[in-house]
Amino acid sequence: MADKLAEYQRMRDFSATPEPAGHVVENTSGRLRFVVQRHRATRLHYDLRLEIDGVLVSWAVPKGPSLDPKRKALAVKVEDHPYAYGWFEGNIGSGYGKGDVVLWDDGWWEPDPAYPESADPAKAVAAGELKFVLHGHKLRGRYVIVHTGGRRKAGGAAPSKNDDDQWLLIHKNDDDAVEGWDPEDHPHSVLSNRTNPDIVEGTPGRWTAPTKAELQALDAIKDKGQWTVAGETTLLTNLDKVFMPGRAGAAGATAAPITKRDIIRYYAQIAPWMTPYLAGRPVNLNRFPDGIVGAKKGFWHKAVPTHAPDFIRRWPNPRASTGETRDYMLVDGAPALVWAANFAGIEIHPWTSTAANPEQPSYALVDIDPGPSTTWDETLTLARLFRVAMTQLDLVARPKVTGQRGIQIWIPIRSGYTFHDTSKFVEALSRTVGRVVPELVSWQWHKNERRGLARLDYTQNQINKTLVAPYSLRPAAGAPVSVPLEWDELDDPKLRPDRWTIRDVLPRLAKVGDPFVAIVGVEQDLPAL
Amino acid sequence: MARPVWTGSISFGMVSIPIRLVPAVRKKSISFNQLDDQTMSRIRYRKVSEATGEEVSQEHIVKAFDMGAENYVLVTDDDLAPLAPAKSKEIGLEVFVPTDDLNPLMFDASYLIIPDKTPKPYALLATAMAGSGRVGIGRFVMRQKEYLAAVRSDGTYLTLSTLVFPDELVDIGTVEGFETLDDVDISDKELLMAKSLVEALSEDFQPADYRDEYRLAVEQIIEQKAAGKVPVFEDAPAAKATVIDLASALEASLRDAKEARAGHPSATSLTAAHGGKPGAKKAAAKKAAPAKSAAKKAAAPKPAVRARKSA
Repeated sequence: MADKLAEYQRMRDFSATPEPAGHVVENTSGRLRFVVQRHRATRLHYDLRLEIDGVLVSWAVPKGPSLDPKRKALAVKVEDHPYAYGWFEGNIGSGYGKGDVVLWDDGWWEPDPAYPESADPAKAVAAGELKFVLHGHKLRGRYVIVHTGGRRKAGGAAPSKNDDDQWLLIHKNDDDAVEGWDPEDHPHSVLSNRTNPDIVEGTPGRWTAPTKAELQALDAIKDKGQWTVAGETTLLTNLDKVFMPGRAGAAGATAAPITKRDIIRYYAQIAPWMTPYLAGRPVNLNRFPDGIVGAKKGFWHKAVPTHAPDFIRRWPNPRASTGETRDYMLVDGAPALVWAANFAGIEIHPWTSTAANPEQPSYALVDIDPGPSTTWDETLTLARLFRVAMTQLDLVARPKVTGQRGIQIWIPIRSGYTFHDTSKFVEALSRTVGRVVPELVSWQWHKNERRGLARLDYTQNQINKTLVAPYSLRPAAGAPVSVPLEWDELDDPKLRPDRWTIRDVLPRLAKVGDPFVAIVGVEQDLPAL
Repeated sequence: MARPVWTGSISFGMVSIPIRLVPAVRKKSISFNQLDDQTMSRIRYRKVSEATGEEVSQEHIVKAFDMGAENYVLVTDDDLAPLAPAKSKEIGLEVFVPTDDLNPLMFDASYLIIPDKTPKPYALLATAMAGSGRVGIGRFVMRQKEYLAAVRSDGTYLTLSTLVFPDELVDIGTVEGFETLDDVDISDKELLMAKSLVEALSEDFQPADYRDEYRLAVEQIIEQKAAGKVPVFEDAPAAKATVIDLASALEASLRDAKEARAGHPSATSLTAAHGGKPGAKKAAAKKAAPAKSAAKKAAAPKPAVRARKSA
């Protein structure tokens, strides 16, 4: 069946494009996925893709799909795309399809039940007419796509310039129809809230923050109730339950215990700032259903539970083997973070790679993991050595405190590297740093053999190995936060790894912004070490 | 094209597949000649009698088996002649065994099997074996010696590896040093950790990642000397130079920090000697998109509040 994608794969150089090579997949959800991507290539067009028999059967729609039944949109059938492509957005820097792509809409689709001849969609497409229903964020309702002219080609064929495989895409006049609806009026990505220009310019997307009225509504809920934020409603429970004690010895608000309501409010408000680090990435949650009071331990939760609301975006991991988590959550806005917080997911760990390309990391990650006898000054010394290394190697990177004891360095990279590459690079880099301060670092993997020394942990550069997200809470008294830094903050005598908490991160952001903006969208080569 | 080292056929059941064998491995180690540094002439070996010190001509050299204590049993070609394996042009595959049953220590030399005359039976066998997870085991005679051989298929190509005989493998029971393993206790926790480490480092084998660095370095030296240059002993291409620069920069920064501390007891900064914000300076130059200027980055971003839902 691989030949379904032969045309797609022949047209692309996967060492140069960020697009996934992909493969034919098996559908396990019972729902067929659809996506629409807005692609500014040689000519602007929208790509409508319907999952049929393990691939995305695709049409390029120059004017874009619409809810307006009066717009009959020309659609040119193009080569089948792999399922993984349906999670892709980014900048195709060269080669076929050069240009920028946003995931403009997605959801699920079904053959229109009113038309038995569309029940077998592959057959219907082959026959030149498919009637279907879209259940998306922007596109909804009944559509028909019908072949009108040009040479018919097999699923794998690409259109030639003069002989396009031409179809028309029409929205039926049903309850979802909206006259005059123009796709160009709704340009933002449903994943990252970015526009096409944002992608080229490396501008971070920002999810919608809760309004004042929405926050007041949260405060008004007693211990349990529905809360609507950014258009989605979640049933919140145990809002006044204390999840973490306040910080011992602290003054004012920082000393107050942290309730579940505080945590939900924090995640709703921090959503816009977390967007660039979570959008399009599967996440693992570290859950503490009873908080940390009573020293309860958390546990990792990867699967989206079946009781999760429909608006939680699920990504079926194609690599998952039987018995492994298959459906991961992709956070796509404040409502998803609110739901996760209500689900007691105190700590959020995004994958280092995206759902579109799980084998390709977006960052090389350095993890300075202090041992029991490592002092804060020693941790800082190690971090500053990495700063020198970054200057020396001419790499853009930024440090972040973990909110616990350590410091991490995030180094953005171009697409095309594997986890093998980043792991080897960070290992070589860490060993070089470690060699100048052998008294501070141990390379023993067994904790008991490290003599209390720090570890420079390069092994986190693996698929589905994760570091805590920027601005995620940590499960400790006072609810400390993992906070990105500017390099010169490493010289601030007031810096502590858990300096900022749930109470003062938003004021810090309002004042100094997010230092990690410097690494968003940066594409750099890893130097040979 | 490599010259075949053997021509014949693979046979199993009633099928006979005409084939040629060429070596699958071309060893690349560099060999040197020995010269007399006074005359620059080649050094030659001669076969010399221990008793007389005189050179012995080929016709007077006989084979003998050392029985110890300077006792030898003479063995002539005539003695061996009846034992020589019958000249055969066939690799008879006797059994097909699961790949995992074959001890990898038995693999000796490897050959590519090339179809001779008609390709179809070859393609048939290659395809048939591919999904089976099995290798064919058989014997054949090459250069007057009988070999045990394993024939494998990757779906398209057949390859053959000669195997050592099982009694040629060193018996682990006779090797000293393993007995220390007998008394080892492993806790579940230790095992779990070791397993997670193995898992963390698990990846697909990428043969291209491994090169014979020593040979490449030797070739480089030869090239330089041939060009009349004094060889520069770099232990690897430019890459390692980066590490040396990096290491010295790191050490310098540590020294600077210590000196700074000595001068100003409160100062712990490493930046003084390194020009402040390293990353920030680079950012503007390294951005993928030129549109992202340093000036733009400096402005703290306000989260843009955009409608997520459009309908």
